[in-house]
Amino acid sequence: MLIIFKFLRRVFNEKQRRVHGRACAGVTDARMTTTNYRYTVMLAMLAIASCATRRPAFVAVPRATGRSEEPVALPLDRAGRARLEAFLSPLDRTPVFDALANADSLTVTSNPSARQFCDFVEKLCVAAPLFRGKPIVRQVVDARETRRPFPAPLAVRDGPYWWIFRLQGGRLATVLLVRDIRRDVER
Amino acid sequence: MSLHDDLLAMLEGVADVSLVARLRDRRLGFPDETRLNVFIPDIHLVTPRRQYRFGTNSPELLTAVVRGLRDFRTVAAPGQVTVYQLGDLLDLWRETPGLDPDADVASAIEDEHPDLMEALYHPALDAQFVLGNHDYDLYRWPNYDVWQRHFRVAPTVLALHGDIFDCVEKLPDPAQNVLVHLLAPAARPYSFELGESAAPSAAGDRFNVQDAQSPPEMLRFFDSARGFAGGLTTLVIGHTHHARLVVHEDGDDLFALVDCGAWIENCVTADDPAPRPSAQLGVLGDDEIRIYQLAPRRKL
Repeated sequence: MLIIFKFLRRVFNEKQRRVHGRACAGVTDARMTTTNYRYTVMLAMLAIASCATRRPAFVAVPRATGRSEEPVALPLDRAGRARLEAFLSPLDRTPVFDALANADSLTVTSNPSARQFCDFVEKLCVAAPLFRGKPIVRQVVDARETRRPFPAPLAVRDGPYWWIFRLQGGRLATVLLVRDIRRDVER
Repeated sequence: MSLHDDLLAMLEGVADVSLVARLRDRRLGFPDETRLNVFIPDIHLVTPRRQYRFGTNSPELLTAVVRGLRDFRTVAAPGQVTVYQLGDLLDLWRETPGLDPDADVASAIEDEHPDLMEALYHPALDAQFVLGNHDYDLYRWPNYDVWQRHFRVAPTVLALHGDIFDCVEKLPDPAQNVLVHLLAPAARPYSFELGESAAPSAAGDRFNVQDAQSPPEMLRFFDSARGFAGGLTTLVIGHTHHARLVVHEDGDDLFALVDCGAWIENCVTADDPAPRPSAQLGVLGDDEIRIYQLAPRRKL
């Protein structure tokens, strides 16, 4: 970062010297220098931003103590709801559980430009506003699986938890709750 | 019956099969008759929201072929059949102008081709995936960790996408991505000349094999590949979309470049100038290389 900044500053200073010559001095010169510094900083930040690639988001399924028991089938029945409530306790997620118990809310819309969870499950989000505006994550890493799951699950963050939904036949088929445990992937 | 013949019988069960090229030569150095390697070249899947003059050819046929390969692996046991996809399966470049970590483009493309993706990702197929230039960015996602840039198929054989031999690929990837994204919608499919064509059963041990005397378009990347190969006898690639088998022979030494073609754009043969959709497979095993062109079965 420092190298890029110094390089750009040197380029601008050189250019300024060529334009104004040694005779140019005083207020005008100072103003130009300030402007050039501003441009330099902007360009340096742009260069840095374009060089730095953010890592795509993913969710790592943690060990048994950090996840609800085996995935719960949807629509939610009483036993499944009890399991999820026990895991989430003391959080109250009644509207979400009610929505997940309703088969009509589980329809998934295919959406290639989707960036938010609710772009996929509009009906669920109407009944469960908790998920509105939250980004979607499709990369779920579960060490128990030998292959990347297909279709890719839908995962959405809920504070310190992630809701991970598996899809089947254009519907949400199961849900797994996991704690948000950060993992670094080294390459 | 050899594994080659068994595979051909399976393919003829789902498609009309013609032979693009064949070479059987002990100098190839992979004599194991109990192993067969099948290579599926460039597929270039995108979502329907991106409109092009051409796209993936015959996805239904490809799905049927992949399912056939899955079953064939079981039937062929104890013989070992390995299926490789040679890269550019998902065309991230044509789909978006640049990598966006917030948009899971790969999953979006996969969602639009459920049957094919389910077949390709089936555990019983256990396909091995190569990262091409158009889907190279998948390496950033943990779910694609097992995808590689190359596979050592046999001690004398390397499979890779082939973009490393392309001088255009020396441009920075982001620049190529933007250019491909902007220009691809106007591009027309190219028709690649395959040379002769024959029924697989009619060809001898050496059919439609190109060498230094062949037209220049048949020799694309050959010198670079030969220089790169070191002690290998065979390099298997995709990338160019031009199915061909090119060799250099020098006494006991032989080097073969196996370009497995693509499932995108078109091809023509010497005996039929009408373009037909490219739908090709490469097959290696038992000191023999074959490249097939497939087509949906004609209804009688």
